Amino acid sequence: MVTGAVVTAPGLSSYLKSLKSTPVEPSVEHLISLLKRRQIRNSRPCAVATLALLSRVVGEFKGRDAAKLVERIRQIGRRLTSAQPREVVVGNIIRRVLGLVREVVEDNVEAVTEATSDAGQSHPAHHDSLHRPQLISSISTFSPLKHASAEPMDSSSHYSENMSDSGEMSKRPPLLTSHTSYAPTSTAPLVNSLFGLFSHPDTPSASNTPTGVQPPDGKGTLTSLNLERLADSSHSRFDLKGEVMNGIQEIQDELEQTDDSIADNALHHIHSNEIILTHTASSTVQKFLLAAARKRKFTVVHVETHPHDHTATHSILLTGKKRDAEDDEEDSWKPLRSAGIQVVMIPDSHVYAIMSQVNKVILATHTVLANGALVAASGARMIASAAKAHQTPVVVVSGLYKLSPVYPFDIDELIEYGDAGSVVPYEDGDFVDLVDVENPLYDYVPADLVDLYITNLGGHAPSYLYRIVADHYRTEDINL
Amino acid sequence: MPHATLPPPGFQALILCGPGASFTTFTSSPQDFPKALLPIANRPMVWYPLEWCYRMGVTDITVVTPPESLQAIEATMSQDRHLTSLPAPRPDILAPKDLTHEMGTGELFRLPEVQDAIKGDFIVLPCDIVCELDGAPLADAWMIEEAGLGAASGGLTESGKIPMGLGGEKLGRRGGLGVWYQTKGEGSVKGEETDFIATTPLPAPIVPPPSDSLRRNISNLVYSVPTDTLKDITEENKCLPVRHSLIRKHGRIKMLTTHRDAHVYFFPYWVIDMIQRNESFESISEEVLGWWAKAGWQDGLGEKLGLRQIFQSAESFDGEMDSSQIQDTDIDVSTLSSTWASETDSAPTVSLASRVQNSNIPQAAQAITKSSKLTVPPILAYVQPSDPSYPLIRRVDTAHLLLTVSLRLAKLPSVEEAGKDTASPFAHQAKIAHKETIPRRCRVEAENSLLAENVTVEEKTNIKESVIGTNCKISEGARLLRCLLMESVEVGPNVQLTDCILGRRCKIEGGSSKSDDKTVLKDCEVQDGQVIAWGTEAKGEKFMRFELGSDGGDSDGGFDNEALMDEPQEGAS
Amino acid sequence: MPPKGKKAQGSEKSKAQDDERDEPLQAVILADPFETRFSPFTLEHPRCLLPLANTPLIEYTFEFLANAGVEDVYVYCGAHRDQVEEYINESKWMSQVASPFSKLELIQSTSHSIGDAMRDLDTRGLLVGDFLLVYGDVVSNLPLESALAQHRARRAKDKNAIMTMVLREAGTRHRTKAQGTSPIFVIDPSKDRCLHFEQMPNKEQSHFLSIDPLTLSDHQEIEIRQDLIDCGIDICTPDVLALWSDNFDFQAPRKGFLHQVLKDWELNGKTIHTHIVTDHYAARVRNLHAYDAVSKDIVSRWAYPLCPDSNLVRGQTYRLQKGNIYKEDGVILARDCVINPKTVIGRSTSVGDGSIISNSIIGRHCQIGRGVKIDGAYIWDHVNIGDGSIVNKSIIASEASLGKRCIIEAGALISHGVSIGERKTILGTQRITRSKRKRDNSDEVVRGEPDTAIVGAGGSGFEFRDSEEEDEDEPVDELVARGGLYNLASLSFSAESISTLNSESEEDFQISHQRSEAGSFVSVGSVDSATSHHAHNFDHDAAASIYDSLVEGHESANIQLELTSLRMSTNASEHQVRRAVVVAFVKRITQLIKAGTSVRDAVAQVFGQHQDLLTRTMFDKNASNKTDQVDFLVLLQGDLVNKDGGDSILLSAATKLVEMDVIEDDAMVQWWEGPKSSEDEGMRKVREKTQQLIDFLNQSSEEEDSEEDEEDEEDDDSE
Repeated sequence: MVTGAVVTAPGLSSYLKSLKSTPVEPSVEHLISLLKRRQIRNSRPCAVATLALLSRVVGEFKGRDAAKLVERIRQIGRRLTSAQPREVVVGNIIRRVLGLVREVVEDNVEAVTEATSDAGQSHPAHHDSLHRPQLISSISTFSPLKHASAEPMDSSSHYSENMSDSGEMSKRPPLLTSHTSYAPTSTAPLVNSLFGLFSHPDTPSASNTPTGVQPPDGKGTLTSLNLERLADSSHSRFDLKGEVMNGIQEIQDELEQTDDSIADNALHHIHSNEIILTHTASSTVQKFLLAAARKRKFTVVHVETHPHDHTATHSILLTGKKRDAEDDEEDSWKPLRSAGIQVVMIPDSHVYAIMSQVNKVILATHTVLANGALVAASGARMIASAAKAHQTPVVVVSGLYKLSPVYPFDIDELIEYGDAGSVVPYEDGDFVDLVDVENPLYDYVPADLVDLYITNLGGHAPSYLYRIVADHYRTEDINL
Repeated sequence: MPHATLPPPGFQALILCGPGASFTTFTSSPQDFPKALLPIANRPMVWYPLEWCYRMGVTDITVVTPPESLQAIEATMSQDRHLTSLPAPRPDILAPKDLTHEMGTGELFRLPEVQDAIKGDFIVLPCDIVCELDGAPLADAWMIEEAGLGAASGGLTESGKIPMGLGGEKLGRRGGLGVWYQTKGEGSVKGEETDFIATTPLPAPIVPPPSDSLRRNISNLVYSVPTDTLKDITEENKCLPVRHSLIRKHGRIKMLTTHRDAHVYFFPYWVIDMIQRNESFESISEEVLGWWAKAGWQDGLGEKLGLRQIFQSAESFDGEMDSSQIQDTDIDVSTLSSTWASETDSAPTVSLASRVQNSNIPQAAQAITKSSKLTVPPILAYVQPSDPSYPLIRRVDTAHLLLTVSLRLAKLPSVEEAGKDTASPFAHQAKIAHKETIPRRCRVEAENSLLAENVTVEEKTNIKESVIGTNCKISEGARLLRCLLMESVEVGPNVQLTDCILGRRCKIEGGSSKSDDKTVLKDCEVQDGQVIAWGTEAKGEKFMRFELGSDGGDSDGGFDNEALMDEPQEGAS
Repeated sequence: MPPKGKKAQGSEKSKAQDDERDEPLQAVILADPFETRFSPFTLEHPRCLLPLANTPLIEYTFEFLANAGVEDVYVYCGAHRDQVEEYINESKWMSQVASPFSKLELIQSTSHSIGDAMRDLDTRGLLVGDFLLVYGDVVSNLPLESALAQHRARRAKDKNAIMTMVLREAGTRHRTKAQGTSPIFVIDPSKDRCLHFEQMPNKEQSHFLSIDPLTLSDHQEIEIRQDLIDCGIDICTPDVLALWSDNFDFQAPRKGFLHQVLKDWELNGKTIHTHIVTDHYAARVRNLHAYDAVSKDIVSRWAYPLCPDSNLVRGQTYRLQKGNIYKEDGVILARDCVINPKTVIGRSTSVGDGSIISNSIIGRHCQIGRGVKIDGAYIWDHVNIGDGSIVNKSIIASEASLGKRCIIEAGALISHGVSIGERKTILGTQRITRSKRKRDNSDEVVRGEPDTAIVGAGGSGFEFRDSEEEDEDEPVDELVARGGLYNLASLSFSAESISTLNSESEEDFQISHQRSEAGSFVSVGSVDSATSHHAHNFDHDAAASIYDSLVEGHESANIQLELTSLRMSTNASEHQVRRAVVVAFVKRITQLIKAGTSVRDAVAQVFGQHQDLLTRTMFDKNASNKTDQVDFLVLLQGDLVNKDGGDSILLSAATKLVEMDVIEDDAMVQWWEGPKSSEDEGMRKVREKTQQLIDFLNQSSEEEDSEEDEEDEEDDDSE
């Protein structure tokens, strides 16, 4: 007899399982359909799934031609993002991996061409700082949902001048893990840039040389150079696949450790007898608070985010585990209460009333956008504004993988509208007939409502995010 | 009494002391011993509803009884230690002069005395209800669902009429509430009478009632009929026809076949009016409830019952009153709440293709009826879930029930054991009034037996699951199993009684265990003062003065069914 | 199936292994429910490909199955198989990479009813274990785990629990509920068992759901539920198919199969259960009303994630904007056109200046002219709408075109390729098509002559008149439609109040006992409109069968046999039997007359052969008042009202009946004097001619009377 469990609706876990046994093409399609059906949703599962898929892709990839690999990943990326543009994380992961490939290539290329072309090295170095603002602008020419439009090659050629610059960036250890050790928790851009100076003696005061403008032909040469590099990388004997795989492995590790590395900062931000307000069921926030709870006693006010997230919220408070299917692989932890923290759950409507007593607001997020704004579970904006009104600091905890180079032009398009049925019972015939229900799943919280971001690198001011973006994503990959 | 402290809910309770048509054995002479005084677990029957009222804080109690039984009841009221132990004020006893035992409850309420007695919203109780369930939550539920935010008893105006809409009555008038209980399950008695009811869920409140609230079990009564009447219907046309108009009106109808009407009603004042207008209403439980329930959904039935006049005359009466009064009467407080949901009588909507829109004719039909729309306030039903954990509700109107209920009550842990607060309201101070009087060499199972004041138990007796009234004498070697002994019964030596009910002052003669003949009674009922000679062996008999025994014997059979049928009316036959 | 495709199913498969399941979950899609609800659109295109919110219906069904984790899918096509096949083959469901199904098969059958289809399915023996039975028009985001789990648990306990119906709770009144008739489920909530099923026609008011006393005695608690959306999702076991084949006369899955199986539960002991869901979305696009409702639901995101902007179909690029406006890429909007909320617009559709569009769904490549007002309309692909036209709640199928300044009133249906000239007005009741069936129940269609009166000069298309509106699970709506809506309503209402009076006049508490009278009261006027469910169900089959056997000239004994069996099965009343007989006979007679035989002969032929059949429908031969015979005559009369030459037929029929002594004289007289025979104009007209017969009878009867008197006297003497 068939057992009931057979037909558990497909989700992340089932997908990961299937991935082993399935060739790439179908599993891409499969992921697409899962994304479309919202059977995989929320940042983390999406990230995990995408990464898993990519590692499979790279694994399957024949030949050594980096350019081909890049193209392949891009093309998959385009399909995925078009399937579910609102899950920006998918795009982020794709870009990360793309960046990874390029780094690998360039490292080796440099290993080869170290002696030969010094000019190629020093010359881009001048434009290092000069390209930063331009980098932002280049980001800002891009809106997430216009994905299909951009041609891959021309975009890469268009930004190719930055190629080299990121080339030298790539001298830093990948993933900038070194940052975590130094980065002071209340980071100002200044500090980090200084740090940048120190860590790269080969980019001296050149930072403000005006002579950065490229002659048009220069671009051409560079492009050719770049391509030729990529090409000859195929001749050079190094294990492209292996290194990329390692890179992906690192990203996977990062994903796993994100919460903990964020939680490490907890003690800097949460002090004894504080009243912390937070909302939605977010493992990141929970672990963050738990970390603090080990040393300090404080009170947590939890907003239940009715209607679409309250069940998860309740269960996370009671059992410390979300009930969602895709979270079964997510390790559960003991709820705050058992850590001796007093937790008060309030409906969303009470936020403003209680805000005056709150010392700090800690928000989880869905995505962090390049301009420091964030897309978070609905209710976040209300909380943030309330906090603003009461001058309560708003801290956003977010893994780096949620940090995306996307600039929000059309905010509406970033917001997903969910099931009206979760607000009003569908049974209520007359109501259904006469009333339209809009149930936004996410809120757009503008940057000026947020005071501090805590990523696994530590804390950053919103205005500084662009820098981290620049460090993590290659400009030529921003348009997939 | 936990609720004694509360301000009285302003109800007035009517306890109808009926005939006990099915207690032929014990209530043959209503003038000196009416049904209301039959002892249930050593307490007179009427004590239970009285206690129930006091428990819920209702002190304005009227006991309605036929004149002939008046003295008996009054006497017991003043003498019986249980009744006297009830808190003040004493209930006033009403004996309308032309109230006879044959009269149905409907008529009863048309009697001028009763009419005058009722001043506001009232509770109707039979004298034979044993209701462990606390009444206060019921009253609360009723007020929340029906009476809106105002006082429960619409304040009487000098002219003795209740102003409309007072206390934010929804839809002008407030409805009533009845109680039904499950007859099946443990403690069920074979052949117990049941009522067939159909209910529909109430519109879900915006704020769900707390998990322990009775409101979860309260629904809207749309149809109610005694099961045997139902049988006639189904036999008549081979099936139970259910009007489409009902189904169309209520998407979800729940039908209960094994529940029984506890005959506990919370009625708004206007019900009196309705009963008054409809001479044909024989009994409350059948006609009044049945028609009222039907009027809720059957178009035009409300008019036929004269409800329109009842309501609108009252309204016009309002109009005449001084304007200030009108002001606050017109306000429906509940609508002021932000979470107020109106009844869903929305206008028909136009739908896509004409070929389609033609199909919602009922709405078209409604549109036609709209003009004369009369909203009949609902009659609610508290249907107790059939889960043994719920408190006991039972009507004791057959000898069987009398026995079983008594024995069940006997099992209740006494106040001594359970402690003052946790003990059930029906628990006795002690299972055995005077332990010391029980000799050592005899077996009395205290946990499931009740022994009242000065009961003499001799040696070598064996008493199991029995209730023994005051001044009884159990002689040597007698064996009692599941027996109910009313007061001052004498059980001779070596008598064996099982499942017997022994009336007051009756005597079972005994003999020596040596003698070859013996007395063994099973499922017998012995009438008051009867003497059973030594050597009687009987099963399922009734010992009575003059031979009613035969038809009394099959008390579940033909003749008694009529009795059973108007039993729920509690009419005094 | 190539290995790649197989492996594509890794997800379910691997899960499968983990749960050591032995058989895949199978599903059968009935792509064609063999109905004409969607005509005229279904003339050219299969129903399951009609666009709902610009996505073909069947896509939703597939999505639903994919969600449920189904593996093998069998699509049962009826009409237009080629199109369905073509579509599916190029859809992602067939493609080995994308499709979540391991197996997707199209089954073509010659069947003309669901019943045939099921029986055919049974013979093929494709289905091994439990399977899902869904229609090609189910829209649902419901996860089936719990339902399946419960079903299997039940199966494990009791082999006889053969089927579980998934029902969505939806209040007493709901736009998405079936409108023509509402299904009524009688359920034992403790066991979720369905005890009884009936279709409640919303047309007549005064009918009764009859519950078997046994059900009452057997169950402590039962629920009568009319607040359910029957979304046609059944979890079946192979036994179901077996049952279908055992009962060759089952046609409709609910009215036929379900009703019957529940009815003879005592016989075969098979139980059918319900799974009532209160969350998620589940509905069937069973007719145009549902089409409207479900579209609304989808647009206002009740069916999330089944929304236009999840772009379920390849190549869709819808995006959601505030106020539930969905626009695909490449929509061209003039600067000052207004797009109001709840609107969907497909790719490269262009909207001209000053046009106002609200609550509408517009397909791809449409050209909306200037100053057009569209409200609540459903416009499919490649539609041209001329400047200044006004389109209200109506459906305009693909490739149709409207000239300038047309007015489409609410309710109009304009089928594929129709083109309307300038300044025409299409009424709400009109259904314009361009093609018609060659013959009845044949799929090939031919293009009909344009009816310029309607579509105007240069237009193409004519008003669609459907030959037969067979109704499967619920009567088709336009049975009521033709105009007489309100008077019908009032009539039925009066019937209602009458029976209330009666039920009140005799103080008893049955919900009503006036059933049969009330029933016949309504039914006389319209014998063949479905009066009550039974009656309807019975009439339909009985009349048909009798008629057939009449045509084939069977022995009336056989007819009688068949009739009784049918009658038993639907426990129809004598009255209904008579009605059936009358309907059949009259039909036959009229047919003969058309064929050229004279009225007299026709009547003689038909009635003559079947004397005893007739006699056995009336049981009051020697009763004093001949209610049965009168009833028969009334029915006859009522049926003849709307036949041409009805009066003469009635006359000769009546005479014949008297000759054959099937109807006794005084019965005839009673009928004549009875109120019903002259209750309205039509009835009176019909019976005019019969006057002569009556006169004749009266004379004769008087004589008889006198004789009888004498006899009586004699008797007295003898005592």
